[in-house]
Order: sequence, then structure tokens, then C-alpha cells
Amino acid sequence: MQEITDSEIILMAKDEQKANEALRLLMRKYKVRIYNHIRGILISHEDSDDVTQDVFIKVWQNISTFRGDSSLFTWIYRIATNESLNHIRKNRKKKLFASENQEQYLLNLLSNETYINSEEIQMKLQKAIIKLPDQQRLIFNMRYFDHIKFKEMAEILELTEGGVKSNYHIAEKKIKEFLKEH
Amino acid sequence: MSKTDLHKEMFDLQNIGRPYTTPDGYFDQLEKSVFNQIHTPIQPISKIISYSQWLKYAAIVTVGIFTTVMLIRFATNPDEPKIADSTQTPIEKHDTTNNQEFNTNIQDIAKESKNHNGETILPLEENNQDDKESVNYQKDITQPDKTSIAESDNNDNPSKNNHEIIQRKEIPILNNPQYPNIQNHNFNSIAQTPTIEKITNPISTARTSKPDNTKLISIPKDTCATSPLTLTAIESEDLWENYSFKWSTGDTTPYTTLQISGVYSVSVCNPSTKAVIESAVIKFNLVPLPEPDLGENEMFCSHETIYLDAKTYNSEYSYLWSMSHKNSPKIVLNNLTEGYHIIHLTVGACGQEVHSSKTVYINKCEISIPNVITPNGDGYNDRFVISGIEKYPGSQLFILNRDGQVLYQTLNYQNDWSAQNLPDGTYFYLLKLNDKNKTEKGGSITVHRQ
Repeated sequence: MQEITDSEIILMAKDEQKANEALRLLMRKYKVRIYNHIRGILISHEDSDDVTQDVFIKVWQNISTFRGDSSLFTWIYRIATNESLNHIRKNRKKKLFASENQEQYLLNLLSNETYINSEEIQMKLQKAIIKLPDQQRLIFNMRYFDHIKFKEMAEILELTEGGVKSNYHIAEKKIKEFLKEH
Repeated sequence: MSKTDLHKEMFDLQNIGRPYTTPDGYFDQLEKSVFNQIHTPIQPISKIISYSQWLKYAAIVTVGIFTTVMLIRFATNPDEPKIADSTQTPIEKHDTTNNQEFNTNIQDIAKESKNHNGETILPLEENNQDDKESVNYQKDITQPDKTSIAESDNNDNPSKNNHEIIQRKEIPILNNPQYPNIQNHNFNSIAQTPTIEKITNPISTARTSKPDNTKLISIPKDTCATSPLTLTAIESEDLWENYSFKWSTGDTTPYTTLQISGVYSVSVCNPSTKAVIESAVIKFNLVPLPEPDLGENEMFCSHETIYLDAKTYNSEYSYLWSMSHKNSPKIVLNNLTEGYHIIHLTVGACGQEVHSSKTVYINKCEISIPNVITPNGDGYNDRFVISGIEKYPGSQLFILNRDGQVLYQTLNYQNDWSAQNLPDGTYFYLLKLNDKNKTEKGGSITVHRQ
């Protein structure tokens, strides 16, 4: 069976009777990808679960206002990215002692996570990724694990393609250095 | 082979996955949770925008197409005889620019109309005769498997110059065969995937000898971003080794990252002679990412005024509300109809958009007045409780006896009258509700203690 196209989903969403089915198809198509993208940013399964649900609800509530000047795919990724970064920001604010920086916060999550397999090299790579600044972390994750094209990343992050590429190069270099040292 | 070498090699082979796992059956559960949370029936577009409004948009679209087609025909082929009824020209025959404008038109119109809470303000009634025809157009546009004109990624592609049109079905992006599957590539080569395409194009390679009219440096003059921005002086990585770079940030790499607002410059130099080949200046404006927060979902009574606040302010932000056309962080809503309303807000900053939404439930908040109370201390109907009155603070209550004497009065009734020190019998009440219309209600109330 061929995968349903984004425009078919948007069209169905406009039809009252097919709206629920459209949501189901939309989720079937994107849930794993979006969850993995969010998990890569948030690390904790529990947080990622919350944010993934929020993202789909948001996508659904806004699908009628979706302007179609980017593809549905990049739009959903953009919402997922923004929601995840907001989530980290909010969560860190909630902490009693906000002295912990983002890197420590994420490393803590990584070491306390239940749903994880502790293969050494995978963990090491994650630790290296956590050390990157947000933008490089996003770009590296999307490229290395999810194989998203530079052009699409540029659209998702609203950067230039050149900007994405150079960020990726910097991230790659830093990670290679980290792996060499540790 | 040492352990670190092994790691490095594994990394190069790009086969390190993510360590993350999920509970069994999580993704099915996820689907259910999302469905459960969207318990309010989803409002399809057809409901938000009524049929008659669709017709209006359709009319606008038709006029838009007509004007664009005519303009472009006139501009590009002034010699060609004009076609009388250009709406009959199939879309596929338009050239790329035409089609793009056409799409933007639709979007603009849709945006325009949403700004005004679904009420179009454009006076286009006179075009109603076109409605039928344009509705068909509307369908064409939204058809999922419409053929679209593939935009060539490369400006040098001669096919574009010849106005040759490539038709393709829309393909889910990840399966797009245009790009090779990068999964099996060596890590180092991935970053170059798009560049490889350029090199194999003979016309592109000619670019290495810098043509007079093309600028080497590819940075914008004025830009704004919501996070530190990484700029690359020369887009094409293959050219990097031919030059040396000097940024006002101090970097001598082909790229630099701008952390604060300001004016920056870059010079591209000859690596051996250090002579400046080209330089450029960029004005960079760093604006914080908007964080709109409309708060929790809320219930209101229909007489209440709703104040909404984006809670994120910056002169660079734009605010797009689904329920108002005001471009401001705060709006006031009145007279919403009963039921659920989802209020959407999009805050834009430097081309980046952050969405927020909030559901409000508008209740009529009707009050109900009992006609008997039994103040015998059993906890049931001991007081004269007007349910719903708490939604109308400042409501006055008067209790009168059969002779018209006022026995009790208050300027802000708190559901606390229990006929204290008054014998059983029938009394009269007058309630002056503090609502918009200052409704007055009167009736009798029986006090019965046994």
C-alpha cells in the first residue's frame, strides 16, 4: 500500500466526516518520526510522550490554518522542535535550584532514564551530542539519525542551507574530537 | 586496534543508533491518548468558513488568476494575441512564476479572511457570477494528486530557461527518489550530497572561475534571527580551499556565528597574497524567540468580557489572532456565541513562528431560582440558593412580604438568606441581576419549616 500524501491528509481533514480518519493517518505517518525527533531533544521518554501528544494536538488544531507555504512534514517538525525546546526551558525553570545548566540537566536525564539500552558507544555518542549547543544538536540529530536533507532542515529551522551545513560540520568535528578523547 | 579507534571507526561507518527505547505498544497507546485529548469534536474548515464565504474566496481566487494570467501574458509575450477567456487555460500551461503567484494569492486571501474572523471584507460581491466556475478551481487546487510543476533546484538548469515544464506527482518527501538514500553513505560524504549534484553539472563547475556578474560572497545584507546565526561566506564548500577568510568576529574560517545584534563584515582574500578579493557587510538583529502563553483553557459566561494576552512582547513581533485582526499582544473578546471556541495565536519574529492556542467554553450561565425553602437545619434547602448567581457579582435581592414591606435587602446577594426570624408562609422576591441587560426577576418563595 502506498503511503498517503500530505495533501491528501490536509484535504481529508477539511471533510467533517473524514477528519478523524485523517488524524489517524497523519499520526500513523508521522508518530514514530516525530517521537524520535522529540526524544532526541528531550531524552526522557515521559517528557517526549507528553510533548509528542501536545504536538499532534497542536498540529490538529492548527491544520485549518496551515498555510501550505512549507510542506506539512517540515511544518510538523518545526512545531515539534519549538515545543521541545520550550519544554526544556519550562522544565528547567520549575527546578528548585535552577543552577544546573542545560547540559547537566540533560546528562542527568540520560543517566536516570528507564527506557534506554545502555550500549556503551551509543551512550557515549549521546553524551557528545548533549554537549553541543541547541542548534547544532538539532541539526546533528536530524542529519545523523533521521537522515533529513539539508534543504529540509533549513526549512524546518528557518536557516540558510549554508548555515545548516556549516553548523553540521562544526557539530561533527566536535563529536569526533569528543569520541577520540573519551 | 584501541578502543577509541574502534569508536571512531564505528562513528565513521555511521551505524551507531540511538539508545532510546519505548514501552511495549507505546505507539498504539500514543494514538489513543491523542484521540482522547481531542474530545471536543474537531472543527473542520468547512464549519469555520461557511459555504457562502467559500464562494467569496473562490471568486477572489478567480479574479486573482485572471489578473495574474493577463498580467504575465502581457508582460512576457506582448506580441502574442490575448486569449479572450483565460480562465479556460489549464493551469499546467502556465509557467512557474505564474503558478507560484497563483498559490501565494490563495494563501494571501485565506490569511486575509482569517484575520477578520472569517468575515471577508473585500467587496467582491459583483463577481458572484463566477462562483460556479471558481468553485471548480478551488477543487483543482486542493486535489491531492494534482500535478505540480517541479521547481528546478539549480538555476543553471537549461530546462527552466526554455520554460520546459517537468510534471511530477507529489511524492512523500522521504521517499523522493531525486535524492539518493543517504543511509549507506560514508559519514564524511553525507554533508556533500547536494554539492555532488552541482559538481556533476557542467554548467555549475564553470562557476569556479568567478563570473563578473556573480558575487562570490553569499550572505544577506540585513538579517534577523531568533537564535545565534551561523553564516557561511561562500555557499559552495568546494571553493573554500581556494580562499582565506576574515570576519569582523575574528574568525578566519569560511563560517562564523553571530551572537549579538550588530553590523559585521567579512573579507574573502587570496590565501597567498592576502589581497582582498571581495568583502561584504551584514546587519544582524537578534530577537528573542517569542514564547506566547495564553494560559489554561477556561470557561466564561456569555456576558463576560474575555481578555487575552500573548504574554510575549517585542516590537519586532507580529501577532496573528484567529479571532481578531488586531496585530497586538493583547485582545479583548466580547459576545462570543455559546460553546467551544479555539483561539489560535501565531507570533512571528524574523520569519519564525510560534503558535499558541487556548480553548474557551462559553456558557450561558443561566440562573435558577427555587420556589420553596425549608430552613429546618437538615442541610437541605435551608437557604435561598439562586444557583448561578456567583457569576453575576453585585446582584441585588429584595424579599418582601404579602403587604409589600421589604424584609430583607442586599446589594450583593451571597445565597445566604434563610428566612431568619420570619414565620412560615409565602414571600416575594425581586432579583436585580448584575448582567449586561440588568435583568430583573421576581416571584414567590414559600418558607416551610416542617
